[in-house]
Amino acid sequence: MFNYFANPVRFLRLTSKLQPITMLVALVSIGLGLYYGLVKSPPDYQQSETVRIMYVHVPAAWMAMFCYVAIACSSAVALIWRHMLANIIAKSTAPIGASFTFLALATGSLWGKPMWGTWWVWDARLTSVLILFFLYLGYMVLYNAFDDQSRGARAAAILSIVGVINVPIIKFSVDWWNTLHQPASVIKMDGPSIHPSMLTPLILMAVGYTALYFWLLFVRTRAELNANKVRMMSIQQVET
Amino acid sequence: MLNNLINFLSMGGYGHFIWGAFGLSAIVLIGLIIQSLQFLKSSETLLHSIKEKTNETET
Repeated sequence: MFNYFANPVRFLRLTSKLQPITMLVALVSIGLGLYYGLVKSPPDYQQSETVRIMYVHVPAAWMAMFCYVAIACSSAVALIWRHMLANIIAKSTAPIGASFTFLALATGSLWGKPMWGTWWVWDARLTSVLILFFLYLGYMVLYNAFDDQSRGARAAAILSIVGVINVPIIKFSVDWWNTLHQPASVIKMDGPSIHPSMLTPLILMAVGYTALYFWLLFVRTRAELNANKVRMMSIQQVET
Repeated sequence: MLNNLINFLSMGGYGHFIWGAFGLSAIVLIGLIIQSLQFLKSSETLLHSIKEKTNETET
């Protein structure tokens, strides 16, 4: 299957079909998620209304990790099988993942101020997510740091694979260390421990964010493939 | 009616933080959508112009 879709023409044909579907899913899910999150769901008995920040914070944090794993996996494929498309998928995911990581940090901070009394603490969860943000920035800078794009892609791919060790650290930081950040309440072995009235908007927003990621990825890979073609054609023109 | 709206917007006194978080998310994500579409458009224009140039040189 990898080899089948590694052909950019086939890949573009598939994504042009999926693009409107992902946009529709994103719009409907985020629209419903906002309605349930801001209007229908009740305030929390401890956090009162601020619990609503969770509906934009948690999906952003999930996407931050999902995008990083996506970059590391495509980078591995790019390094092993030398598929140009895998590098382009990783490159296109980076700014999306960085934006979600920034949002997870910023919305968490906006929740922390009223609930913890501080914008920031050097807690294991917060610190490891900040490192994730720097890994994204490092990846993007490294990718574009060489005149020869393929060297940049290779260096950035190695960085992303080494950095993937941070993802389980983020996930389990709340169990391994005594953090101020609360432990997991949705993705747990014995099922979610939050009430369906709050789980509904959370899941809707998470589905919406995931669909939005794929839509953005399809747009950006298309643009990157165009840019690649331009680069190839200019080289050919210089040679002739 | 107006009271209901004011109550909703104040979010139990936490309105600044809650609307701040939702507003910031909207700005960043919409910004990313616009930037991605602009990137696609500029790449298409560039590809188009370079294709035309190659055609000219070939003919």
